Amino acid sequence: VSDSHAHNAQLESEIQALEQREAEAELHGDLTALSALWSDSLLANSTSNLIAGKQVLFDLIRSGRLRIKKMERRTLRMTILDDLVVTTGNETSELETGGGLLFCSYMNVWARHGGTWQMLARHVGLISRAAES
Amino acid sequence: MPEGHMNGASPRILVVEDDADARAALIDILEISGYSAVPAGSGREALNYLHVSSPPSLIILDLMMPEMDGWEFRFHQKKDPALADVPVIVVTAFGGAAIDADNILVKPIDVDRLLELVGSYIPSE
Repeated sequence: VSDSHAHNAQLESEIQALEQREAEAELHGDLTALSALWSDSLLANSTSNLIAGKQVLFDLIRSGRLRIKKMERRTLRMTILDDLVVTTGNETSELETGGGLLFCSYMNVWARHGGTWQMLARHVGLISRAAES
Repeated sequence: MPEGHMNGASPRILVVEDDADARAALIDILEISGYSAVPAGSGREALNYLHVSSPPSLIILDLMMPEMDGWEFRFHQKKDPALADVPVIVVTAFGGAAIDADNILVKPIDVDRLLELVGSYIPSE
């Protein structure tokens, strides 16, 4: 195993952990965690066809209008390019406000600034929706 | 005249969008930004609302909708002197859509740009 291969495996594991931590923070509306995990320049493109930044997303969470009751993320692929990592996979999620179970694809971009990895961009696309129980 | 801050009421925006998720998300964004927003799921529903309500400050209008699309809604709106002056921001997936509107935003909608445009018509509280 070469040094670079070992380094990439370690980085993949680190990003995989961040992916799960971020999903968990979204699930619990944990603004402290999200503040650290999201870049101030975050751009998110949602299934509602809205492009929003960190401040708008924080306002939605803080106001109680964005509350998630289920969030499972499965990272399927990762591309590493120096201080940028692109991840993609699928998610199962459900909002407290209804709308049923959402099966989505996603792509996240993580960027390293000063040794710290933060989510810089996120795109979620709807694959299908299960009817509300 | 569209209502606004002059009468002390919260500026009211009519959101005409058939996709329930997109409509709810737009309403949320507008309300947390200090506006009052009213949903309508089609052009027909929007006209029905406007016929029993005072004119809103602004209309955000999708184009592709069942029952009555955005083009037909605009036709009826412009014919009605009480509604003709209400500014309209069209939101559409079709960048080259031919429609007479005050502004056109292509989906996905940049929330910052939308709020900037909304603010140019009616300042938030």
